[in-house]
Amino acid sequence: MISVSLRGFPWGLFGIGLLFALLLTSLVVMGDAAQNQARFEQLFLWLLVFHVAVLVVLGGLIVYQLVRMAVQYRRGVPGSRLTLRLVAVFMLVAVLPVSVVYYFSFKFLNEGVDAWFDVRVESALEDALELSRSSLDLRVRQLATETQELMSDLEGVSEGLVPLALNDYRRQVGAQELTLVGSNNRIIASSTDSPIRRLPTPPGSDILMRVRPEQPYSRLEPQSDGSLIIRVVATTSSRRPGSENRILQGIYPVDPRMSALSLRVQDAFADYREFAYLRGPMIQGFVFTLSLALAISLMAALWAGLLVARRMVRPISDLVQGTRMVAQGDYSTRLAVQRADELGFLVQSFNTMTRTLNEARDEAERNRRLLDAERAYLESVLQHLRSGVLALDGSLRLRTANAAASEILECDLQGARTRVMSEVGDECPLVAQFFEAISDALVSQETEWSRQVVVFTRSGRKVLMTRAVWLPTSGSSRGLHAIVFDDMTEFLKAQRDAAWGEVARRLAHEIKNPLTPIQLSAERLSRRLGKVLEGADREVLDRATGTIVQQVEAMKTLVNAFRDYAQAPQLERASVDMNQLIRDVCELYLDQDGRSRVGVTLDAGLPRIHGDAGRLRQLLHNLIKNALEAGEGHEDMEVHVTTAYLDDPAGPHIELRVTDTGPGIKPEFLERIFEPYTTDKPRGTGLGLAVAQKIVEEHGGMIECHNAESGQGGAVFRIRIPVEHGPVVHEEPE
Amino acid sequence: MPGYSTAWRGGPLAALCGLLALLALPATAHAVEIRGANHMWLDDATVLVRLDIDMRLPAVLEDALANGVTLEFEAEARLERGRRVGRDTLARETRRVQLQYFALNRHYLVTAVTDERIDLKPTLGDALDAVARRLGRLRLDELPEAARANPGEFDLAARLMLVYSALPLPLQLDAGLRGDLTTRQEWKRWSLD
Repeated sequence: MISVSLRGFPWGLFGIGLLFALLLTSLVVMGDAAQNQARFEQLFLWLLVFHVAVLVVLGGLIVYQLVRMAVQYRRGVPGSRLTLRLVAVFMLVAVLPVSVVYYFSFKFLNEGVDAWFDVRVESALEDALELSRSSLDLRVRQLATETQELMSDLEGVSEGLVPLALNDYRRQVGAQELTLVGSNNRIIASSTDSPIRRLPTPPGSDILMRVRPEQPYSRLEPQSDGSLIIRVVATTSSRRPGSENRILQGIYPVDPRMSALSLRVQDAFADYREFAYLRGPMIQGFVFTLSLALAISLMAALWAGLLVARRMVRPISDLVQGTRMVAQGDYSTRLAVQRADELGFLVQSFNTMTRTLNEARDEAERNRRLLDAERAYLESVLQHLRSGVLALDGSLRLRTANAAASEILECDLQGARTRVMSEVGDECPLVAQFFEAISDALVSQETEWSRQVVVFTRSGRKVLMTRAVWLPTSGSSRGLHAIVFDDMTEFLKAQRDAAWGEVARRLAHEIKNPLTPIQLSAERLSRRLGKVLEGADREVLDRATGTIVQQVEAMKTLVNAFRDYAQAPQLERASVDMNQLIRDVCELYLDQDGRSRVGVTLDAGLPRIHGDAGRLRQLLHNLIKNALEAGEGHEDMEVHVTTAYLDDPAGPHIELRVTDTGPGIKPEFLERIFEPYTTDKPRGTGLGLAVAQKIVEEHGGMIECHNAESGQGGAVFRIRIPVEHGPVVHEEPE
Repeated sequence: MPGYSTAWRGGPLAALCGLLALLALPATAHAVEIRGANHMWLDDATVLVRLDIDMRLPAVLEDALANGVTLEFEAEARLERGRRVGRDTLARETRRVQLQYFALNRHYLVTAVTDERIDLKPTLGDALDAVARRLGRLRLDELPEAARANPGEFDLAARLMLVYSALPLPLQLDAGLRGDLTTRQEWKRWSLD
């Protein structure tokens, strides 16, 4: 908790506040100290050091911030350019007033300090000093003269009386001390006004060097107690040969008032001279201090500007960063709201926007998944529909097609999505036929329609029951054609087969019954009347009854065929070897030369099937007989039977092909070739192929017929019968 | 004495000016310099250090002196035991002497901070000689017995300096900024032997 609260503490603002408080305090203290010399002297140095330290610290901070800003600018960190611009503005705003203040302060200092020094004051001080000097010099000269006279008076006084004489003279001239010194600085006698006996101080060597007979040395001397004395040293040339030269030193006090006044004048003059002398350095010092203070102000402003700029720009840079994240698709971006102003409101609005976007995206994602699921479901339903389904847009461009549509129209429609159907029709003939048949309804955009469309293929025609609706897009002229079609060919064929079966059953029932009495009646007529009639009448009778009997037999045959066709299957299933069955059947089709008229190509791996061998034999007979009859009149007519075992997605089955090299099947018969009475042969019942199809269907197989692809005529019957087990190799192929 | 000249003292400013002086590149002039040094045993525990001092004021100080600025010089002597790292100071003595111009009789005053003796000299040369004489004799008392027994193990060290902090503050700043003055001389060392 503590660390969190410390991290959240605005250290930058606290630092700025502290720094400015210290600077303000230092300025107040400096201003107050300026009014008090002693405090100024005491604090100035520390304040100076403090300001220099602050300057150094600020300089370091600014350099750090600038380097950091430069690095961020180079890296293109969001907000760095704005920060740089703000800092430049802050600097400009800070530098201009500081420069003005500096210029005028500098000018004021130079001119103001010069104004402190007045020529008249200096002259007056010099005059006062000169006056003091003159006054004191007068006294010094006077005392020098008196001391010289005393020295002359002492010339003839013996050493024994000298102390008394000195004492008298001292009182007489008001001296503080009189000392008579002989050769080698020997003190002969001394007199002092001090009650404390003190050893007199003989004149120094520098003084003695300056003393000449009748030319006393005198000077004014300050004392350690702040008073002034006048020292006079006088000598005379000895008048008596052999006697030593004597030197008299007199120390005279200066009148205390005179002394105090003179010293005060001298101190004032010295102070003024020193002050004037230090004018230049003082101005430099002031300028230095001013420069320091302004530099600190400028750098503090700059530093504050940097911090404020960073603080101001931080929400903006956060927003830029957040916007980038949103642009990259990250809608979970949330920015911390740290301010209660307009920028804070902006950040809050950004967060609201991203939250709304996130929710919208989630909703869209959910909808998309839902749509995907629905589409997948629809696709699945469409793919498993046995009806063909197509969806076309208004410009007849394919949008959707299912597998059944591709199968029925014998074209890869699922790979032709987004293509215009006319283009697809160029590659797929059935598609072209189909759309040619329904294009008028599509173009007119009929709301709902249905029609039966017939298309022709190699294996015959296809009847497509087609229904369509036009689904317009609301608020738009565009829409969608939804087309559903079914291949009704097999259904219609089955309907016809069922109808023919019923017809056959009724014919068998209704026609066969009267045939026997008709035949018996005709035979009875022939027997009874044959005995009565003779000659031509007998011949007419025989011919008529013979015709009746013959036609009745033909009708019986026809009725039996119908019966067989309509009869419900009574299969006797057993394991059948189709290869062997084919060989047995083909044995029956030997020509006069003993050659088989039917060629075979048998798959040795053909498995046995579970079927009725008799019915299958009839199947083969019907197909081979049909082929041979179709090829009558063709010398090179050949019939060929092949077998093969196939294992495809539809399951394992055997394939039996009966091909011929005859004229082939007329296209108009191709569709109805397995229907009863569909034949172009002059003889025959027209039921052979119908029965063959029936037998195949009884065995769960299928039969189809088409003309040979070679284009040289001939028909191909293809039968597929499922097997329950895999291939069994039991014989070498022939 | 004028109070102005003695009031501008302080370590921080000296340090600051020293820093500024170090930053200033122009060559500096020594106000005082020890040309030679020797010593003399006064008794078994006292040594008199005698310094031969060359007093040559740079122009800025002569000018300052003539304009009423008081100059203060300090001499310091030490007895040290030489070691490989660092030195032990066993005895120490300092002496301070002030020099100022006395305008009332156009003489120079030489005074010591520690005693009341005043030398009044008519010329600056005489005054500097007086300063040199006063600074040139320092007594180191109460020396350890080992110093007398094995003087070769001990060193004497002395140095002279212009007391920078005694200068008026503007002059300190000015001199420090311009680098005209050095505050102290390097130690001069010689063996006690």
